[in-house]
Amino acid sequence: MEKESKNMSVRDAIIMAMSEEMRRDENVFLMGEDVGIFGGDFGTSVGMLGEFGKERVRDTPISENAISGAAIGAAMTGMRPIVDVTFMDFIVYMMDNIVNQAAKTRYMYGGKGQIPVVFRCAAGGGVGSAAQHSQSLEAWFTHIPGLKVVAPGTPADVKGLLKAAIRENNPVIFLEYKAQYNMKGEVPLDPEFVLPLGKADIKKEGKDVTVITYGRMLERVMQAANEVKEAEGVDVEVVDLRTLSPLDKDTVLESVKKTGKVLLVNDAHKTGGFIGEVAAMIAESDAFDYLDGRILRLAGEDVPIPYNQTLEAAMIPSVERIKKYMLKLVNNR
Amino acid sequence: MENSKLRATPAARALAKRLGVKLTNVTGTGYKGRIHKEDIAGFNYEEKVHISPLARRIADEHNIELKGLKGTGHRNKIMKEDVLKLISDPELKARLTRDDFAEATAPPKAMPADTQAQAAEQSADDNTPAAAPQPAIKGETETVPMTQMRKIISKRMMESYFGIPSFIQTWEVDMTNLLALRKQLIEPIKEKTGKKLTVTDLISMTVVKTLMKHKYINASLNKEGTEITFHNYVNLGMAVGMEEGLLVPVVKNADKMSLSEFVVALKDLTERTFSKKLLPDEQAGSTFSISNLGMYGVDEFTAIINQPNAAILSVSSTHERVVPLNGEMVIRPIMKISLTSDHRIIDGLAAAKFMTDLKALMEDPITLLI
Amino acid sequence: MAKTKSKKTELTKEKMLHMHRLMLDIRNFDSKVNRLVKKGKIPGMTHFSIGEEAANVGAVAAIKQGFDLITSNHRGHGQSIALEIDLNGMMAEIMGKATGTCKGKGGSMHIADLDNGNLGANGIVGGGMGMAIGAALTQKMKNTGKIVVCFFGDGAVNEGTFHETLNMASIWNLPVIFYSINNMYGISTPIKDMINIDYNYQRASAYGVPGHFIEDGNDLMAVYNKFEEIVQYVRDGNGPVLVESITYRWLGHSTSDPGKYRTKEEVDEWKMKDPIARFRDYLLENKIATEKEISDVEASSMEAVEESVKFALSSPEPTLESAFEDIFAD
Repeated sequence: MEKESKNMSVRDAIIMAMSEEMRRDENVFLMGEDVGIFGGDFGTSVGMLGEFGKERVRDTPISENAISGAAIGAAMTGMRPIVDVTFMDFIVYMMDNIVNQAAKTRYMYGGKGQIPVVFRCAAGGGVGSAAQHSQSLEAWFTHIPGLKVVAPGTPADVKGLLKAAIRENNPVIFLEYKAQYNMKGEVPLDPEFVLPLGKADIKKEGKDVTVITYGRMLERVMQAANEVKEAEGVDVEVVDLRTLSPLDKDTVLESVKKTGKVLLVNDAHKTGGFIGEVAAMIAESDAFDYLDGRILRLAGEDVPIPYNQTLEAAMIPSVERIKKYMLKLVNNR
Repeated sequence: MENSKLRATPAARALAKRLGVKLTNVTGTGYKGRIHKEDIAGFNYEEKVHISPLARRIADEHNIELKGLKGTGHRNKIMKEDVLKLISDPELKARLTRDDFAEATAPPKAMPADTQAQAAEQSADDNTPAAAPQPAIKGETETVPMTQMRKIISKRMMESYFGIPSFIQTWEVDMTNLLALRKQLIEPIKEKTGKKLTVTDLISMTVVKTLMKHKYINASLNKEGTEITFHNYVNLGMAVGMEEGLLVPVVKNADKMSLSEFVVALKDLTERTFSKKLLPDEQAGSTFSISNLGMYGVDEFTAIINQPNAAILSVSSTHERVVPLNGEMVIRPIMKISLTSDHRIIDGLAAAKFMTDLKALMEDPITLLI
Repeated sequence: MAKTKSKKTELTKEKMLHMHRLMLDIRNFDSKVNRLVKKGKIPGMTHFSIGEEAANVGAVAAIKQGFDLITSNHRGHGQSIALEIDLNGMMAEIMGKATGTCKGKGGSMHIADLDNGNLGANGIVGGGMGMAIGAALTQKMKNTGKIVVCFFGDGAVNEGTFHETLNMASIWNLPVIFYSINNMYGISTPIKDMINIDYNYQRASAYGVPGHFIEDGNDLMAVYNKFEEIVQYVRDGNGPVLVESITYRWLGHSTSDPGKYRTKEEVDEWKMKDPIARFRDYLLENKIATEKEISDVEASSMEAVEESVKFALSSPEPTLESAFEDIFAD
């Protein structure tokens, strides 16, 4: 079957994914602050109020607790809400409902009930919005059994995985990156284009070193990989995790065994960050005997994101630093 | 137990274990001397040139030899720019282009290009015991270019095979007494040296003893074939087969060694051959060579002379055979040995005399004590 | 002893005896659990509804069983039993057995009966409020005609979620009754010290919703009549309601609380206002039921509770594997 695709932005891919799912299933609806006439804080629901009406594209008061609670209650009773968290930093107000209620209800009730809800978060910095509006907090949620955490890095993956998250019968934390809403890429137009949750993707095959990443840093890792190939002949294999929890351990370990050299990159803070978990998983697996160098991590600095744009840029991995780390491993440092 | 203060990656450790390589013998090129996989694997037995992957590719393309050169990269690593600079100068490039005669088998120090006492030749057989697991060949065929080492072996073989008028004598030896002697000596040797006494050790000792009485067998011929050199000592070359090719480390002054000393010396040489830690001196200067395929079940074979030696002994495996003895049929362990001789120095009689004495000593090795 | 005010009702005798039975079930069940805890047969935390039977049963009796929904809080035994949950499963759950309503994985604070509209007890104070308005949102979006009763205590009103959810329910006109059972104490702090108004129902006007007050929450008929009224109001699509009843818990906050913050006199005074004894008198005085009929109900309640204990004690423990099940829906 001929699959058409179109070059579009992450933002448009999001609107397309949500709209397709809302057309397909009348139980799906969107709620959050300013999602209606404003079209979302980041323009991710522009035009949807017109098509679906204000019952299904529902503006809320500034009540994160009530928003998340209502989403969970609605999900428990047959609806499939999408919550627009807006800045991921605000998810802190939703923690009780996400962690204590959504993640645990089915388990505590002995397998009764299900909570199909998606929390869409605008994560990361790079837009000069400073410390309280620039965080990537995925690590917290990967720590909670009962939640799934997804962080795509290309427009196509955004569409395919958001649709999957909406169709998923469990709570999903879905990361979008503020700095990438305008990023463009080829996106399949097929309304049944759905990617599987829990599967990583080899974005580039290689044999000299494995770089594991996701989300915002994928773009930079790919650029770095292409540049070191040109300049140094180094053949990088890029593993895009896509879903953080549940983690696709098989794909990761296979790549590690292939190259023996591992670099993990993300934009979130290094300490307690999710790539630490992946590194530990690699070190305790049977891929350990194939390691021919240290397991290196390159992540955001352990500081609140500063306002000044130059400072901010220096606080997360750049293409230059990613290249430097790739070469470190290749040169047995 | 490997030294725990040693820095080595898990992959390097696993490979070393598989190959039986002692990590303490390996030089690591990683940070703070950390040993990496490539420090052990040594795909070509070449000097380890510290070079970036891209620079190496470019150098190979132009067939440039970079041994001994220092680059501008970290810890003198040769980088792409260094290679490009070198090949842009035509005179430099010409000087550096690889010579098939070059001593690729020598470890770190450069060897004079025309010394014939190079290791790496001799065997006509394909039975190189695998030192490392073979990579799987996918599909129907796989074509690889010859390694430097193989090229050298190949060249030397040709020279020896076609350059020397050689003849072969094959003799059968009854190994009963030698095997019995070995049994008796295993424990005492183990106690004294910590090493296991092998049949090869005993056979070598008989050869060494016999050689001292046959100066033409223990001689060397110069390349032009105009001068014969007689030696008052025996430097015994023992062929060691590895995946990459054959090396012939030399036990110097074997004639002056007791059996225990020889056992230790040969074991040490063999180990260091496998871990690529032989000194250049240890591959040169043999006066006679032995090629032993006894452990591989070969009935009989002939070896090619390791120039500038006058002869080489091939040792085959021992099989139980029915032999007539004093009018009766008995079962004895019989081993075949063949002497390939350079007819320019050795004629049939001299060879036969040597082999007679050798056989006698092997069949009654107690006289080694005399 | 305070007298129950006579009220005109359309309740049948069966229904009234049934409500009496439910109150007895709560009393007997929780008393039994209390004894079992003291004997060491029940691990973990549990919270008793003893003394609050009327406040619970009266409310639940006014909704449509198996149709309307409730959310509950940590002191959820009263509500679950009033909603006629299977006592066997409930006792087994409190004992952590595999035959419990939650397979032994939820315990006292997470008892639920989803098929029957009981969205579950909740270990987080105020945790049920968001869930309640969400459930109500579903009913509104799907036009089912169902309503939701959200049970919570006096202290929960101080959680931020109360403010947010009542406001949201109000602006969206959701069919939910916010019901605060005021037993006058958080754990150890009297509510009087924790709010600066007399009663929490007075907050209702701040959200543009009606506020109702049941001054004697131990008067079953008073609770029932009030709820009949507000259930109809909400079901008619008039939006949410805030209602508060005053009652008292006879035992401590939880099994581990000896209740040193209350005086013996106060407790005894409230025991005199026992809702069950009062309703018993009401039934007899108004000749609604005979002594025999009432004692029959009392006997069968005890029997059912004893039965549930037998069932639970003889039930198996959950397997180790079951700890890894039911995290996700397929």
